Amino acid sequence: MNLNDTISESGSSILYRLDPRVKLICVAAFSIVVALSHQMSALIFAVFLTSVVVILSGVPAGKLLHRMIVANVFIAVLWLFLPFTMTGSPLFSVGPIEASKEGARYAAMLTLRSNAIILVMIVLMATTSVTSIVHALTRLRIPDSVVYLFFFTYRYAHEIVREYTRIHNAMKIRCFTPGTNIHTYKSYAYLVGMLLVNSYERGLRIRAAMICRGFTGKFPSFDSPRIRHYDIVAMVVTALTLAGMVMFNVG
Amino acid sequence: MPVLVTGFVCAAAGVAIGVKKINADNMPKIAVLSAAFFVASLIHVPVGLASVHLVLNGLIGILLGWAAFPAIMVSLALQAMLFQFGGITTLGVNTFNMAFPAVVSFFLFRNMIMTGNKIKTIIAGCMGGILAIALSAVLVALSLAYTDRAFFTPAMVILAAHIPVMVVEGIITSFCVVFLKTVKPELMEG
Repeated sequence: MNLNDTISESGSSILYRLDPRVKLICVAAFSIVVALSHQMSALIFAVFLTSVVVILSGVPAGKLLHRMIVANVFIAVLWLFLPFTMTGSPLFSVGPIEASKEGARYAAMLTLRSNAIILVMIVLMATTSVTSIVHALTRLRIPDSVVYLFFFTYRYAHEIVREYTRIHNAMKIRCFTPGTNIHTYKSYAYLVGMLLVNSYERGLRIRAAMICRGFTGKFPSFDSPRIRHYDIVAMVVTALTLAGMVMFNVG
Repeated sequence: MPVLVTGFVCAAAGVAIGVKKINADNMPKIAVLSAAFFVASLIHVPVGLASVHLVLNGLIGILLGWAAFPAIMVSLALQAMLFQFGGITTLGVNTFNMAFPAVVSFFLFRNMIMTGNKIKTIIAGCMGGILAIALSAVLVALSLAYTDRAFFTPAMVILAAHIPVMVVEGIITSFCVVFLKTVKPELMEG
């Protein structure tokens, strides 16, 4: 269980230097347009664009591929159903069950759509640290309590994973073998309970430590929130390509 | 598209109510449960030959009430960003599908858990866990079926696949509630 937040945080490509706000807005807008696209041409265009962005970003290929495989497992499951459950002109048949062209086309569009969104998300997370995302969210007028909750959740998630591994190892050392029985479920329930108790107490300590060090409920930011010329260029390019994709869908 | 918009609006309403319940004092508790929801998806529990991962939305609902909405939304957003589960466009629908059942469990079973004896706590905890998953599975199936009729069969499969999850969650939520009530009553309050 690994909770690496970024694939590689230090890099030199243009995408590392873009303002996090610009990146968030562009990714959100792109995701929405792609999610609503229903033309094959628009989706192929989207995947092509994201591939260009991936190459520009310089994110290591191996790690990228690993994440793609994880994300595509669910899509693979849909491929098992969609071609067979949608009616239409036959493509091929397995025994008495017939696969339709419409179903396969639909599944292909779904694959393209998901992968385009997944790729930009990976690039966003690989080139932006969670701290700068927190700052960007505050500047984008997301309510403070939601942003802090986001930050603390992220902070505690690491602790909980570590705590889980610790308790789970302790169970394994004591010869705990999970099975389908009430003992297993009871053990897991107490594991979750202990996880909550320990993390809650640690959470209070982290909070107390932050208050001791002068935490006033605000996260000061040291990097200047200035929009530079390449930020504007990125926004314009994104806006133009999104307009292009909308045209693909309409025309 | 209508499903995405409806989900977004309903989730936004829930989050708006939930955010009002957050203050400096209960922030650590909410964040811990939000993080626990995030980590629960990594904990696999065996069921027969297969295994299911924990969801824990019933438990989170019982402990947090309306604050389950922001907690679950934040957690799902992190999952979307770090693991590429779900996504940003479906965040609204997913939040509602997970958090609404949590809040329902809160209103139906919270009182019984807090005031009842051990037997009542066990029963209410179990029901809370089962109901939250059952309702979530129905909501997910409905969202899929309304998004496109092509998803009808996968939606039914998802619904059927959640029956063992319901059983596991019911048992685990029940034991967990009893455990927390004995070991750390502060976590149960407020």
